[in-house]
Amino acid sequence: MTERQSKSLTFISRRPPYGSDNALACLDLVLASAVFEQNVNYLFMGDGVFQLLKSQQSEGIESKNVMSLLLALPIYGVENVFVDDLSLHQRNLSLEDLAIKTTLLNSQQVRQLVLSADVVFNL
Amino acid sequence: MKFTIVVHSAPYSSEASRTALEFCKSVISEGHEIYRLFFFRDGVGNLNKLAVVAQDEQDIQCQWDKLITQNKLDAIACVTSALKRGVIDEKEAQRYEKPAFSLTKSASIGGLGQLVDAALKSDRLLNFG
Amino acid sequence: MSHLHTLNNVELLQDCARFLSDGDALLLIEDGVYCVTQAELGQLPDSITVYCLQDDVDARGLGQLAQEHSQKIGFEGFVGLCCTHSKIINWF
Repeated sequence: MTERQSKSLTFISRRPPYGSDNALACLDLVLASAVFEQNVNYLFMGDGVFQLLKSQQSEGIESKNVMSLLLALPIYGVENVFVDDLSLHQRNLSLEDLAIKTTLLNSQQVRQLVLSADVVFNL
Repeated sequence: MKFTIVVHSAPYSSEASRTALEFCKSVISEGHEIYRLFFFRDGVGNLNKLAVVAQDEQDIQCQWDKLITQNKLDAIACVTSALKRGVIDEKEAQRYEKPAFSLTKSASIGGLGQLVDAALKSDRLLNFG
Repeated sequence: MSHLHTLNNVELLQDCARFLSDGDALLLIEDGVYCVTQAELGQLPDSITVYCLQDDVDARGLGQLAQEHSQKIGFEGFVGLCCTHSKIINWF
């Protein structure tokens, strides 16, 4: 187990995009993991779903645009991007509100994704 | 077992770095191995050797330094987190022409790849923040 | 395989609870020990064992409540839980 080369890494991003550095820290970790060609899963839940919203214009607060950064995920080979249906529902959001192409997961699938991972980063 | 511990928060502003520190001490006293300590985001403040702490307070930076030195641990400050918070080593201080360096000598500066590597090679990974 | 969840903030209990499974351990640390005042903690299935970090409980004067709703452990116990569970999920 210790020296196994391939592990699944699941990242839970639970915080909104600009109020703290959680969202960007999680993204940086995802991108660093993608370099290692591991099985990377990126899950947005809770207030983390706000990172995916369309029409983010962050110039006014002199921050990197998180949505634009997330749009580039496929370039880095990060294909497994998921969003928690319950979190969207609780915030009156639907897939149409999102700029990022993600796979919608129900609660059971979200559980399965997280519980089956070898390592979980929960930010 | 091989443990990797990631510290996300600054000393004193939350309890988390103290929890991480005590956890690490127990990992070692219970006979396990610490594969890597990774200081991320505000966590890099735990490696700032220029801190001056009142005598009636716990000196967290000093305790980390002791733990790392005595057990020859691999302690890494995330480069992107550390530089912008002024936690820099002598080499970076020279390169950016800064008047001082602050990273404790027991730790070094490294990239997020070293955290991913640790996640892959450790049996257990814990985050404190 | 069962998991160890650590939690340091009462507000995260609901999110964390979604991922608790039979045989899991929930370890309350730092301000997370205030979960012992929450009804939600009592609603977790019996197959989940709730632990509290002793120092954090004692510091906050929650000894009695923690006794009723959890098992108090020290850092050695914390390390032990990490070894007996295959993965750790930290909620902070």
